[in-house]
Amino acid sequence: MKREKREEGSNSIDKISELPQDILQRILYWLSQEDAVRTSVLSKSWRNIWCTRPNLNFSDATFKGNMHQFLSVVTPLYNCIVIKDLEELPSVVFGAESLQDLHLAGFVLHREAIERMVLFKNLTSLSLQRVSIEEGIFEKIISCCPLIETLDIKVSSVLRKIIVKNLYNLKYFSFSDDVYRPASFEKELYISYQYDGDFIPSISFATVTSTEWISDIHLTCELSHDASSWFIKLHELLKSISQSKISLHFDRYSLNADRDGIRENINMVQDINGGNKHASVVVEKFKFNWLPLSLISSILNGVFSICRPRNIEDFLCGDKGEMKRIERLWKILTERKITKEDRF
Amino acid sequence: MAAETGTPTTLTLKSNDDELFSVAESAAILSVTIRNMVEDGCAGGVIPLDNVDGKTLASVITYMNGISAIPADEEKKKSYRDKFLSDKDFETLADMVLAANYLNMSCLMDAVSAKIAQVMEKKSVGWVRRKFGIENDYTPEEEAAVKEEHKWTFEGVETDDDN
Repeated sequence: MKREKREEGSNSIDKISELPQDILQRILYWLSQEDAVRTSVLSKSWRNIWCTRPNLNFSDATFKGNMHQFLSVVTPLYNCIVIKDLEELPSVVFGAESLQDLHLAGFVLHREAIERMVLFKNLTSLSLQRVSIEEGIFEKIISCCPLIETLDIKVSSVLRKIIVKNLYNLKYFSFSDDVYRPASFEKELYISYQYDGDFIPSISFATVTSTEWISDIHLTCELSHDASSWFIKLHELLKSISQSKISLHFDRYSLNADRDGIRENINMVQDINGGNKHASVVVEKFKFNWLPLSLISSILNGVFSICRPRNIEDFLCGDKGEMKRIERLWKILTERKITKEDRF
Repeated sequence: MAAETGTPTTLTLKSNDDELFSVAESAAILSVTIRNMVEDGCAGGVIPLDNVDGKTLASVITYMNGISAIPADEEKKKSYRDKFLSDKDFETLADMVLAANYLNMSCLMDAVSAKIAQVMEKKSVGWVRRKFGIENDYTPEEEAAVKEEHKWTFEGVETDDDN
């Protein structure tokens, strides 16, 4: 069926095709991938303009041509690449020396995939989301990218240890297991961990003294028969970032043992750390939500034996038990022995 | 730069068809190109803008004055831009995007290029060709091959009559 679609204001002179390529790229920037790619059918001069639009999306869902062939053509042209949900990462990406911004999502990064990796000497931003990556491979990648300023990692149960000691330009660092939480980068050096897993990642940084860091740590409080080692690991993490202004949040807790066992176990933290009180890390703000009332006292004891919070906030949920909760908390805090080390 | 304090400085801009325009420096420096000239001290006399014609420059200056009168309120600026561009035909938009590019005015560049993109959004190839007067210089075989390569982009778009 033929349909006449004369539009008013049709142009007889082809003014749009005469626009410089970089302006056409800017125009295509505003279109969906689909609309942008479709312009290749308009005429010969439009054939490849979409390939270099600034926000080209490499994900499988929106790009269905021959991915590998395509990447080998365009990768050298880009300094920002976003790749999502491909079965394997095209090795050509790792050959792109000029790359400044690499955003990978939904990958398994194998050893073979990075074998051909070159030094990303210009890479300033690396984002890994839903990327399964082993510690060794992560280290290898990081060691190839000395100029990284922004590191946003939302992954991967496999990656538990992060060593970024060679990243002297690091300004923003986020490590989270919540792929849907947007990273908020505001501060000069902003470290953010949001981890709900059953472990505490171990992180070591290059020593930066000139900048003021903010560390924002969100964790699920692990209450098990081995709660003490959870606290000890947390202590290690806090120590590794003790140069920064730390804000510590227990967003949730997971209860994997009977309460008496947990209480007893947490008390061991004090003994383990007992001889070493001065090593306690100063924490600017400690905030907890929804901790079980019967364990608050023990948990606070655990916290106090590994760090010295300047401010404590309890999340107020406003129910009937609230007053009781506040009274209890007040009691714990006031009855707590004020030792010499607790004063500032 | 020898700007006198207290009195607002006015610049004179000259289009490529020799029209002269006066504009407050504070508005004109929305253009990075002009700002650089001002900062380099080259803005003393008349600033020639060789790539912009008088009609387009008049329009750009209207925009400069309009947008710089709005205090830092992105919402209001956006609605001003929308209103400013609402009655412009494609010819004018094409001239403006070129001028914005030459003058290095990113906010105008973004607004105009987005406006042009809006016209193409979700439209069939035939419709876009007619709208912009783009001549199809593919042979039927070549066009079929390109279409085949990007077949997925034709899902959900109105089919059109010319291929």
